[in-house]
Amino acid sequence: MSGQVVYIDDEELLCRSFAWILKSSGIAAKTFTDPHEALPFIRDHEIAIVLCDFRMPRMNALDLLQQIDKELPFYVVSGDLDISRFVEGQPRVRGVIPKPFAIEAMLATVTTHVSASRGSR
Amino acid sequence: MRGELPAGLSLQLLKELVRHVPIAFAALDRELRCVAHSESWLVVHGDSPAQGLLGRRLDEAYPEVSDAWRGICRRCLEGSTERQAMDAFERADGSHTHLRWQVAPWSEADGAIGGVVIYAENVSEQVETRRRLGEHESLVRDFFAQSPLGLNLCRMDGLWLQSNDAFLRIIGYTREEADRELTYWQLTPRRYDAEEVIQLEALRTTRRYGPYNKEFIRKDGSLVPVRLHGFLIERDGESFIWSLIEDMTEQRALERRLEEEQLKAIQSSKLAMLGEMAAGIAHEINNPLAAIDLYAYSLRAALDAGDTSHVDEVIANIRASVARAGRIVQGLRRFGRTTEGEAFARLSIDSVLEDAVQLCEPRLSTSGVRLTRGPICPAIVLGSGIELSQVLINLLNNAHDAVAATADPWVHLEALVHDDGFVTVSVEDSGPPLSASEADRIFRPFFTTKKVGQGTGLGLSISRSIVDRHGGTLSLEVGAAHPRFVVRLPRAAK
Repeated sequence: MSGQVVYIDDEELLCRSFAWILKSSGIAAKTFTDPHEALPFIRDHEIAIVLCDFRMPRMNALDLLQQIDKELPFYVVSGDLDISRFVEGQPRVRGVIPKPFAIEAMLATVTTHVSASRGSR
Repeated sequence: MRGELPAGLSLQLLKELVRHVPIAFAALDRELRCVAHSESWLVVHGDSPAQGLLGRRLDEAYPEVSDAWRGICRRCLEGSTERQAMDAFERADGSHTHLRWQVAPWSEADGAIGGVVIYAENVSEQVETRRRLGEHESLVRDFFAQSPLGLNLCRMDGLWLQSNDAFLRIIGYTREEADRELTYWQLTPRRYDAEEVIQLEALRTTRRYGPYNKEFIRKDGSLVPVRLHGFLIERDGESFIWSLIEDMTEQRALERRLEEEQLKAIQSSKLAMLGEMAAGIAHEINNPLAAIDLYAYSLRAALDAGDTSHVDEVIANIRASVARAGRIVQGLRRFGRTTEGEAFARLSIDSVLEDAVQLCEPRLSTSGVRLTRGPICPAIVLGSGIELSQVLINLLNNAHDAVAATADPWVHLEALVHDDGFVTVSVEDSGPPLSASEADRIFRPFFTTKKVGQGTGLGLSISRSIVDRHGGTLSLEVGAAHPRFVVRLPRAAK
């Protein structure tokens, strides 16, 4: 059993289509529109990768990352043009996935981490 | 003197009489020696001669006496009488005295000419008064002729009696064509009829009218903007109207240019604001784009796998995303359009507010600024929706910039309708209250509390000029716990 793929975005539609795409690639993804609900899930499960929208009401991706006290591959998803300004120098942010997505590249990233988590077990 | 004196008249009395005659008077004998003179003579002729006058020859007493005078005296000794109404005499000190004088012979009892009597009156004062009056008259005449302000006298029925050059230049007629030929009404466009009635009423009740802005029809048919002031005068029981006419052509052109400049400033400030908001707007558009991308990709994958069960749902989602991006672009396009020359329309203040919020909300939420709404009362105002949105966007952006970096930031909106016919829209933020001196300076051009590069310092001054154009006020409430900007606008008549 491999680690979980977690996608967090306050946009319900994005969560659904993201999950659908991964499912068609044979990967199960857990999505959250409320980052507060994601926290206990991340704590209690083996995680392959977290993809998190940067801008969400009340909390941004970095705020969430601060509350996660284990090491995991954390990617920031954002439609901001100057997102790098916010995540530069954040050692725990593994990378930025820009919106709109380069879907193949994103899927490749997810697949890599899923395989890695499978291999590490 | 020879001969008998009338009874009762002594020589002494006669001398006293002569001495006290209240006009300058001197009697000379044939040798032009003074036999008697009044004290007034000395007053009129200035300082009395050193050795007195009595018994001395005229030319001894007054060495400056001219040959012309000697000639006059000689002719009078031969029987003629000479006089002059105004004669300038140069005095020993170089000053001039104007005299009215008369020289006539006097006769002895036997009829022989015994000498001459001279009467003189100092008329210098009258001469001076007349000179001053003349000066004053020519001053008034020059003022009338040279005044750069048009001046005009007209009869109550509007007939022009007298115009100065400036006025003739304004209306483009010659003096011959205008004075006593033209009437006020011939040069007044009919559309001023109603206003004319008001001005005439003012003239009747207050004896003056204006300042009154109107146009005159020039000789060439063009219209010239003028400003009139005037008052009623009475002459020989008849009333006339004196008018002062200013040519407002340059003034109007200047005002138009100023207004154009103002509109340009509004436009460029709006573009600057759009630039500031671009990041938030891009984010807002990228989200639906990302969704479309995902849907399209998943649709491809599903169709490849022969799964058509979700096609309708996915297509509906794609279209909803397109509509969402479209709305944002629509709002931008509406806002970015130039407003120059746009007529004021009836607007619902709550929809203006929502337009502004739609463009600002992404930026606020991006920075974690909570946007809360109090009562938003619908009210109709007359204005430019784009310009009023611009004001609200400016206030929202300022609020954002002021609190974005603080803890638990919020911005609160309210729109209230008041009994005095006004509606107020207020934008309050969670920042600390501004100091009185900041509150005083904050509406001035180029005043900014933001970091270099974050704002032009023109937003609030331009916002204020926009609200002014709408007959309202933009103010900052001081003394409250948080900064609160209030836009006050008159409600449109039903």
